[in-house]
Amino acid sequence: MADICSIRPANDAAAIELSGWCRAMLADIPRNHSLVSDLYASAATRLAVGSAIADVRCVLFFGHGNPGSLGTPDAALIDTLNIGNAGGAIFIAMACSSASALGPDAIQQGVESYLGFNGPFAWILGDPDDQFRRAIFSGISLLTGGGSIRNALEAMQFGFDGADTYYRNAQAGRKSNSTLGQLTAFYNRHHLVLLGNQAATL
Amino acid sequence: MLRSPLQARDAFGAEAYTVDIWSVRVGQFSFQPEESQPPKRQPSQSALRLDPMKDAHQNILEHLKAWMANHPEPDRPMLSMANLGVYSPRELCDAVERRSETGQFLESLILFGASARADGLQGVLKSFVQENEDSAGLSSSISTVSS
Repeated sequence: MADICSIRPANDAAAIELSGWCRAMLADIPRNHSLVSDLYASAATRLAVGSAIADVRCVLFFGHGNPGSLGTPDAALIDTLNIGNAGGAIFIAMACSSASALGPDAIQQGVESYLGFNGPFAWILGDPDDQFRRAIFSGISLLTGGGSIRNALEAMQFGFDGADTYYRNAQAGRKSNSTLGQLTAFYNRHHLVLLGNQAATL
Repeated sequence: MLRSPLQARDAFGAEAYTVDIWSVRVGQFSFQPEESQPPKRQPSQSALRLDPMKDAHQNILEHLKAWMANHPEPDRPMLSMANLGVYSPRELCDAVERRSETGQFLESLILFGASARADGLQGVLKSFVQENEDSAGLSSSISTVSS
């Protein structure tokens, strides 16, 4: 089974920003793992996505999400009809809400582990203090570095805790709105969940 | 998750009790004595108090309006949501006023954050209003980064 597939539709401002985070992470993947496909912008069609998530060890999705699907509500890229293609994979969805319905569905259809948010995922536009991207990055780096998906979850939670503390305490030198920063970091931290096998590794 | 009961404390932090965050009126959240943390400047002062006669939505809206009114860049997008787009302070206020999906999410953020803070909803809303007191530094930081 090949290693990693990334999907980053980049179909509006928020998704473009997430796509940039993903691109930066892909550049940091250790050489013992291979990036099989990187479906970016218009290349991320439902057909291409359904095919790409089959027979890979890990799927990274960075974009819009809803409780039952990934992609926009009127153009789902992944939902109950094709999530089973990722059977046996570790699925990481950096998107809103998908862990509340699509995640459990994915596990039922054979996905080994599903890491995502069971509520909206929000951050300060542009992440000027590098708090949110860093939280996500720390988890994925742990996974690609040999840690378990549980380690990845904990690293991300730790990162959001750090962002919460940063915005709560660091008034001086900050570059963005600290109240919204603190609230979104706290909300993200408590709505990030891991389903399925907690010990899965790449 | 927001519908689950949460622990709160009375005005002086002496006694814990359990409330439902959605059914309770704001007056039952913890309050700091007014004189313990005086606001730094006049424009914030009138907006810092929670009105126990109004519900959480009304109090949040009033504080956000005060925040937006004094914001140095009320039309500059500042918050991203992975399924709802990007929003400026003015758009966030409008969203709360219209009770749109975005507005409801912002209220959820505020109430969820308030549930974990010793100073509760009062503290979160106070920090929103006081946010603009660092506006000069905030603007220059943004300018420096973008130039």
